[in-house]
Amino acid sequence: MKASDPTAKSILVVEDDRGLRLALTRLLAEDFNVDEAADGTEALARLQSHAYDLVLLDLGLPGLSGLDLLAQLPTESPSPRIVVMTADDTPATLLRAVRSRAWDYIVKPFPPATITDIVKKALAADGSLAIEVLSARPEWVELLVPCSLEIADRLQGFMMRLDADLPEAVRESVGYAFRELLCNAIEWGGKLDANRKVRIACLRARRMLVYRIADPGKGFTMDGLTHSAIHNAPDRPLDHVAVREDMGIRAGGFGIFMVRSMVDELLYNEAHNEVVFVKYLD
Amino acid sequence: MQVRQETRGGHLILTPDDSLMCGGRAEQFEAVIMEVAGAGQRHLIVDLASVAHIDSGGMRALVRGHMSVSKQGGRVTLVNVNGNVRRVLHILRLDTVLPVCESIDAVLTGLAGA
Repeated sequence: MKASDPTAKSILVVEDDRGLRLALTRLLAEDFNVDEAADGTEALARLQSHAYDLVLLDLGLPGLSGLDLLAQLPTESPSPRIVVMTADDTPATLLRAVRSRAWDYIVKPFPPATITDIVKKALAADGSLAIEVLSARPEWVELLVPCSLEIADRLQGFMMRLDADLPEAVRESVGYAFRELLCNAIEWGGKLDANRKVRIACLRARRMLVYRIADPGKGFTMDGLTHSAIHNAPDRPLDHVAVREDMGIRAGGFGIFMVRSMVDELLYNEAHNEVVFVKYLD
Repeated sequence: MQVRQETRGGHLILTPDDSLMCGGRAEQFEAVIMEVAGAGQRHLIVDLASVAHIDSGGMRALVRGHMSVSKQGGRVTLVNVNGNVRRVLHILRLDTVLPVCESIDAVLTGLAGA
């Protein structure tokens, strides 16, 4: 099935469930040139003969599995974005997929609009923003990511799926805190320079979650953050905004204040370019 | 992300269609709210029905909009605010700055009587 526009991006749908494969192919063919493959071997043959922009890949394929297929794909650029589809959302599978350069990950079943959104976002994103997996043990995940805010959504979704078994309130708090500190590290520490890296570790112990985020910047001093909401009197939540105006920076400065309210411990190293937060689980 | 703009009773209603998180969506919404605030709108209604989550970037957008229209004696009123967003507003103590109303009709009635 093909879109009529020869300039449209090309997608390979790899799915052994015929009904789902046809539904996805029809849906995506409205905007893209779409080919399909019913198993890993057929997919590999297609990938060796055609340069696709994106592969929508089921992990549970007969014969050559989706993860095996990922391992056989060339690593050099340009390589297709890989969006993984699976009913198996265990941390081990998720981590193997990310280590194999999966761009995003969607858990079955999913509504059609979701897959369209993910495909469009993946195709629009900067392909150079790769996540490097340093440790892929479910109890110790460590990543190196480029300093681009574009990566924040992907990374938050990925990290939150690792904690999918936790109560929703805990996941929400951890998700907010992680995202805030990650964005701070990328924007203030890494100066939005995608050539610089933020190092992230997520440790899962029986009674607590520990996240550590290290940025490549010089750090800061808490006392120097007069333009942050953390220094406001309780009844004057916008006092810091006037300080920011005097300094010529836009309103904002809510991130650290927000994080402090959502986690149990927030610790910085001496230079303040590394931060650890802890969320206790009982 | 799209931000629908609709005028009712002489007041502009902004309706973002996604969560307001830093890294793109919050910044897009911030550009829209600052543009309309700068164009002289006094009272802005922000319908958050489609905003499941908001972070400090989204809050920054709302606060910047508030700061801009308040200089002209106006305000930003939020409607259809879910539990997640209310929680963040409360944590940041911004629920004392940004009024929350249950419906657009209620805001319009209040502004008409002001």
